[in-house]
Order: sequence, then C-alpha cells, then structure tokens
Amino acid sequence: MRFLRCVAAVLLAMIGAGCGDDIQGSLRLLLVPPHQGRNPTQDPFQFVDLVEIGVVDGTGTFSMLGETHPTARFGPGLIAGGEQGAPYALGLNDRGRPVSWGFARPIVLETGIDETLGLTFSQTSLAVASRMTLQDRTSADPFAGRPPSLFVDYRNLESGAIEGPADLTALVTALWQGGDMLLRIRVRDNDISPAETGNDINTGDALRVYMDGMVITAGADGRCDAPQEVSDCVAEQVTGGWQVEMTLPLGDPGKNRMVPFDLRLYDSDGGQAQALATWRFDPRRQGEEPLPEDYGEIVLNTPLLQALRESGPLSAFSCPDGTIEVGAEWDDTDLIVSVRVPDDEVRTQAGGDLQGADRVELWLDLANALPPISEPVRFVRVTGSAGASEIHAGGQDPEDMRTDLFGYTGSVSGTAAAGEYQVKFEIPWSDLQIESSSAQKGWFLGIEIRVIDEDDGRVTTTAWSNEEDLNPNLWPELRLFDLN
Amino acid sequence: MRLTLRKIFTLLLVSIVAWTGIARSEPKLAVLELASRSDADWHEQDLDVIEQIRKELASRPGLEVMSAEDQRVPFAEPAEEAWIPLAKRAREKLARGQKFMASLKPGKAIKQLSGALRILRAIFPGLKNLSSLERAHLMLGMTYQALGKGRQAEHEYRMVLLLNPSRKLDETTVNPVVVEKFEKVRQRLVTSMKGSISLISKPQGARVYMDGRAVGFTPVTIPGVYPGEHYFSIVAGGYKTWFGVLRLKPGGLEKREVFLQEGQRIGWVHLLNRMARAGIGKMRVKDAQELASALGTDWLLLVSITHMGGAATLDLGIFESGGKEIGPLGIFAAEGDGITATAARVRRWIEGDHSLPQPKTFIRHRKDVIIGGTHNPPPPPPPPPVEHGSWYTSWWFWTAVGAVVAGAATTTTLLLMRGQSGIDVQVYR
Repeated sequence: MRFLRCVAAVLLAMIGAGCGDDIQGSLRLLLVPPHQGRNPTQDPFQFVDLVEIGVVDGTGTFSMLGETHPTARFGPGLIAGGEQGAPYALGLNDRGRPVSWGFARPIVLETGIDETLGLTFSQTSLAVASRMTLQDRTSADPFAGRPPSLFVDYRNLESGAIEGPADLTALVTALWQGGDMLLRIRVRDNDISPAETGNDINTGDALRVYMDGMVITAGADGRCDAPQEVSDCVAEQVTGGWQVEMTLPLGDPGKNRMVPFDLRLYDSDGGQAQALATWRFDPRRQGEEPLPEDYGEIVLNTPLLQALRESGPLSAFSCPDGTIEVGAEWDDTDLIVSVRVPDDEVRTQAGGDLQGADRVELWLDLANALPPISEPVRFVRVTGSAGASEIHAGGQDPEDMRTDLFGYTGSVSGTAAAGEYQVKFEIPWSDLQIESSSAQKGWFLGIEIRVIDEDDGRVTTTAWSNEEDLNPNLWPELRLFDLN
Repeated sequence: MRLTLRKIFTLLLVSIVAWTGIARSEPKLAVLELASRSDADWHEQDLDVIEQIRKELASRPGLEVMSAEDQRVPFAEPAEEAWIPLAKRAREKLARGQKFMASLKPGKAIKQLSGALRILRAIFPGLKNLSSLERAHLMLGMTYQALGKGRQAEHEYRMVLLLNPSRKLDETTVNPVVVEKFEKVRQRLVTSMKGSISLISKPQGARVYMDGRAVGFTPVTIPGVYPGEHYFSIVAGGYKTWFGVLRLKPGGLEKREVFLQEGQRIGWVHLLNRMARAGIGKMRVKDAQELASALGTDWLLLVSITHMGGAATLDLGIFESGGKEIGPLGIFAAEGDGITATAARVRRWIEGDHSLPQPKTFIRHRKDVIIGGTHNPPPPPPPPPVEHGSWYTSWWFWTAVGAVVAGAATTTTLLLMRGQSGIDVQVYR
C-alpha cells in the first residue's frame, strides 16, 4: 500500500512539474481607439469576429503570431521569441476580411522582454500618423522605430491579378511635424517592371498618393511627378522591392486632425495585365480615379501616456541632460503623475514662486483640445520642484492662469539623487471638479510636461510637446486605462 | 322571417369575415436554407432543392408556403432613395431628346439623350428593367446616324443588341436606312468571337445579373458572351448591390473580383450565419423567433444541406412562431422520395405529430443515407471461439498488452500536459 502511495505521489509530482508554463517574457499591447477630445469616437471591434496578432518588419513582411476571438483581454498566448518588427493587430470580420487594424512601435521579441505598448486600433478607413520632434526629423532616419500607419496588399486588389503578398504589398509610415507630413512607402515586389522610357510613370510599377487635393505619382524607375508644394520626393529600388519618400504640406496641423488620404499601387508583371490595388475605392467604379469621398483618413496623433490602475508603462522624451521619463497611474480619487529628470546639478533652493529651483510644470487640458466640457476650469497647472515645493493655477486659457481658479488639495513630493531628481504629483479628481465616480476608463486628457532647468542664472525649458508656446492642440495625451 | 336588406348585408358581411378567417387559418410557412460557406459551390443546386421542397409542400391545401421572392423582402437592401429623382430626370431627358429628334435638332437631342444615358448607367440596378436603357441607346444611335456619325451609331446599336439580342426594328415605323444598319450590326455581332466573363465576389453566392438577366451566382464564369460592354449587377441580401459596366474583347476573358459592402440589413445575414454555424440542433430559439417575426410567418422550416460523396442530405428543423424550441425533423435525402418524405414529415409535425425521428431513419451507411426504409438484415453472428485457446487467450499476453497500453496512455498524458514555454503576448481592449 505504501509502495502504491509512493508511486502515485511521484506521478502527481511529475504531472505537476510538467503542467507549469515557462513564461520567458511578457508583451502587453494596450489598444488605443480613435478619439476626439476626451472620448473615443469609434468602436474598432464593431465588425470584428477574429483578431490576428503578429509583427510586420520594415520590408512589409507580415509574420502572424496567432489568431483569437476578441474579448476584454486576449492574445495568442505563449509564443516563441526571435521575431522582430512592429506588432500589429488585424481585426477580421466573419468572412475573413480585414475590417480593423493597428500597429505599435517596432520591438524585438526576445527572452526577458517586459514591455507594455500602446497600439492604435481603428477601422481600416482610418490610419495614424505619428508626431515627431524637430530633432527626430533631422536625425539620420526619422522613420526608424516608428509604427507603420497602413498597408495595401492583395486584399485591396481592385483589378488585375497578383501572385501574393511578395508580389505586391506596400507598407506606409506617416510622420508629422510642424506643417509637414513625411511619408515612406515601402513596396514589396518580386518582379519590378518600371515604365518604359517615354511612357507615363504609372504604365509600369508605380504608386499614386492622393492627399488634400494633391496627386503624386512615383515610379519604380525613380521618377516622381508631384505638385510644387510636395518636396523631397525620392523613389528608389531597394532589396525586395522599391521605396518612395516624400514630404507633403499639412494645411492646419493639430492632434487628432483627420487628413483625407488614399494610396493606389500599380503592379506590372511582364506580359500580364497591370494590377491595381487601392487602399480605399468604390467597388462600383473599379479602375477609375478614387474620388475624395472614397479616400480614407490619416489621423495626426501625439505621444500617449498610459495611466493604469497600477504603476504603468513610462513615456520618455529628450532633454539636454538625457531622457526624461513620465509615468502615471490613477484610481477613483486621484491622478498620480511622476516625472524623473536627469540633471547634472539639481537645485532645490527656491523662492515662493519656485524661481531658482529646478522644477517641473504639469499641465492638464481636461478638454483634450476639444472644448466644451462640463467642468468649470479647462486647464490646470501644478509646478513642483525637487525640494517638494509647489504652486498651482487654473484657467480657461493656458496663457491666462490664476491661482484662485484652482483649489489644489493634493500633494507634490520631490526627491533628489545624484544626477537626477523626481517629482510626483497627486491630483484629486475632486480638485478638477470631476466627481470621483465619473473619471472613466478610456478617457483621454491633454497633458504637457515642462521641465525648467536653472543653471547659474541660465534657464532652459524642455517641453514634452517640443513647442515653446503653450499650444494645447499639440500637447501629448494621457489615457486613463484599466487592465482589469 | 322577413329577410330585410340590412339582414342580407349583415349575413354577407359575416360570411366574408368567416371566409377570411378560414382563409387566414391556413398556417403560413417559410422554408429557409441555412447555407454554409463551404457549400457555396452548390448554391444553385441547393436553391433548386429548396424550391422543390416549397413546391411539394404547396402541392396540397392546408398550408400557405411563402415564395422565395416574398422571403427575400426583409433581407433585401432598401432601394436607393436618391435614385428616384434621378430616374425621373432621366425619363424627362429621354422625352426631351425624342422631342428634339422629332423637331430635327440632332445636336440638342444628343445632349439630352447622352445625359439620360449617363444617369441611367449610374442607377441601372434600380430600374425595373433595362428597357429605358435600351431605348436611350437606340435613340442615340439613330441620332448619330442622322448626323452621319456611323461608328458611334454602330456602337449604340450594338449596345441595344447586347441588352436585347432579339430586338427587331419595324420598317414601317423606323427609317429603312436605320433598320439596314441595325441589321448589319447584328450580323457583325453574331459572327464575332465570343468570350467569357468570370466574376468572384466576397461573400460568394451572390446573384449575378448581366444586361438585366439573371445568369447565376458567384463565383461564376459566363461563357459565350458577345464582345462589348455589358451591364452587370451583383446582388446579395444584406449587402449593397455592386454594379458596373464590364467591357469584353472579342474572344477575351474578363475576370473581376468584387468585394460587396455591407448594407443596412447585414444584421440578418449575421443572424442567418450564426444559425447556420450553430446547426439545427444548437441554434438559439431567440434567433428563430426573430426570423419568423421578420418574415411574418407561423412556421419556419430550417433546412441545412450537406454534400457528401456526390449525395446531398437535408437536416431539417422546424419552429413555430412563439414556440419554445426548434423541433428536429431528422435527416432526409435531397432528391426524389426524400423531398416527398420531407414534405410529409413537415405536415405531420404541423398537424401535431411531434414524435422525434427514429435513429434508424438517419443512420449513415457509407455514403448513402437510409431514409425511413428498412435495414438490411444484420450480419450473421461470428462463429463460436475455438475450444483450445491459443497464445492470445493466455493471461500473460493480455497482461503485456495492458502494460503497453497503460504506458502509452501515461506517456501521452504527460506529453499533452507538459507546460509550454515562450513569451506571453496579451492584448487589452
């Protein structure tokens, strides 16, 4: 009997040991829906039956990690490491057609990874352009590390035939800064057939961009036919296909502004009829030029800080002394924002107005650039120094802030260490005149962090929005989210 | 008893009401196919089977069977309202064009007729038939001919003939010169090399109309098509109608893939798909009730057709509006006696015989389905075992088999339960 018990115990131990999953890393993708002002404006899951998760590399090659039905929290489960690229989610309807999509910034899925990324997820009529700073724009490759915006492939085929994804897939990355939109369109094509000399560009492998009344045609032969307003249009062949970059003017840039946009690809494979694939087209007028009402829209986004119920992912931006990190969390009573600033020489001594001390200004725009709102004060500002002193103000205009309009009962804590200091702001929802029960999961607020560095009378201000002026239309966003 | 006029009238009224009541007492039944995506290739044949069931059920009194057309109404996309004023404008332009033709003002006539044609081409799926298009092409052709523009006239006459190959012009009412040219075009058309047109749609199974005539369901290849421009529309319940003009070269093959856009009634398609996916035994009563209410029917006969090895079988379910369950009627062959047996079973159920199908009525035997018939007699029992046991009757043999089986089961269980390793990817909405 004892022997049998021993055997049973050994067997159970073996099964128990075998059952445990070996989690070698973690990637959390937080889907961000399209929104205007404080609230989401679209349910990207409206038509979604199944979601495909994967990564797409810079050449436009998609690697699927898994498929799953969408619930509050879903995923492909444990996947083998080694993949590299921008995570994507593709919502498919009950007929297997893509109806929603979204991308995150590129990563390497390697053992030990622990990342939480925002992944903009919208219906396929919308795509997202990421905002970059002037410094990013002047870097060697401003597109590096940026999430793609949209793709056009065999599923967008309008007429003709293509062999598959390797024959024709275009991955578009759109960035914006100031009054410009930068586009990189990477076309995968296993048989590049440019137009013959003297013929129109689009009689060979080519693409056509439609944006705000402008039409730009670029070909695999390097030619680019663009209006004067378009600059730096460069088309060139690259490994596995060809690529076009261009800079287009934006009329009135601002966060969450939607810019009408369409893309058409022409694929000529020797001898066969030319294939046409278009992002958005009216199937009743196949082959004809897409009309402005057919176009999709590119949404101009700004950096996003995800505030979770627990300590969440950090956002970062550059300053002269290094990288400033911002984190946020929230609960039913408070919003907590902490900012870690690298500083060679931390100054904590200050006067009543905090002049002379290294300090951080936290700005909140409760309307997130789209008033009106029901709360009486739209903007609040809390300034805290490494020495934990604080001043605060509120108002309807960031240029006209008054102390008496914002009764701040929260707290600011500051800690200084060698080479850095940290300021933590606790802001009660009640101070913002928001009922504690009405701060909702899924809200978007405008946020600006301005770091003021005092060095021997020289004052340097670094703003997260990368704007000297206080322009709430360009401020980053804070999203209230809950993983549960 | 004096029979006054008022009494006669009352009696008459009562009789009419009673007759109407009797007429209404006939239960109304809709026959719905729950099509699965994998069976889309059989769509046309399946519709034939459904139609046969309808006919068989309607062949005897006591049951009002909804026609396929009537059943389509709740699922069909509503007509484009914007097309109504456009159709009116096209008619006006046609009339004005005809007036200008009569008053020998061909330039103005062409302007009006071309305008009418442009509008008609943009809204042709909304027209009851394509006769107004045919008329516009003909009048335009005649006007071009009057202006000496022979090529344009021939093009328009060709369009008339493509729309209506049997169209004849009457020499007593039409200028003989026109008739002569028209007939020349006909000769050239019938001797030209025919081609074919292939249409694929997503979703598939949509009805295809070419030049106003139904030609099948997608995916479809239409052979023997005269070269030229053809008016196509693709119609599927729950989706916006796709339409366009396809040009076919002599002897050519034109391929087109069409993605149908979801329309206002897409909810019904989702509901039907959901029911089809669930199957007769598992679909929700709520869905069936929603469908019965939309169709305004007392009974729903739900038919799921399965194709196996060249034979088709019907899995039937029946639902009474307001009922609490979907009655399984059993599995029947999709031809000949199977259809008759289906109709008889449906009638019996409606009359109150709610006995569940006997298992023997739908035992699958290889590829055949035995329908309500008798079985072949069971095979004879095996011969009794040999008295003197051989090695496989010994205890040690079966002990060894038991050990191997237990070992294999344990190994398999351990392998299956072994934990996975990798990076955990989770998505949060």
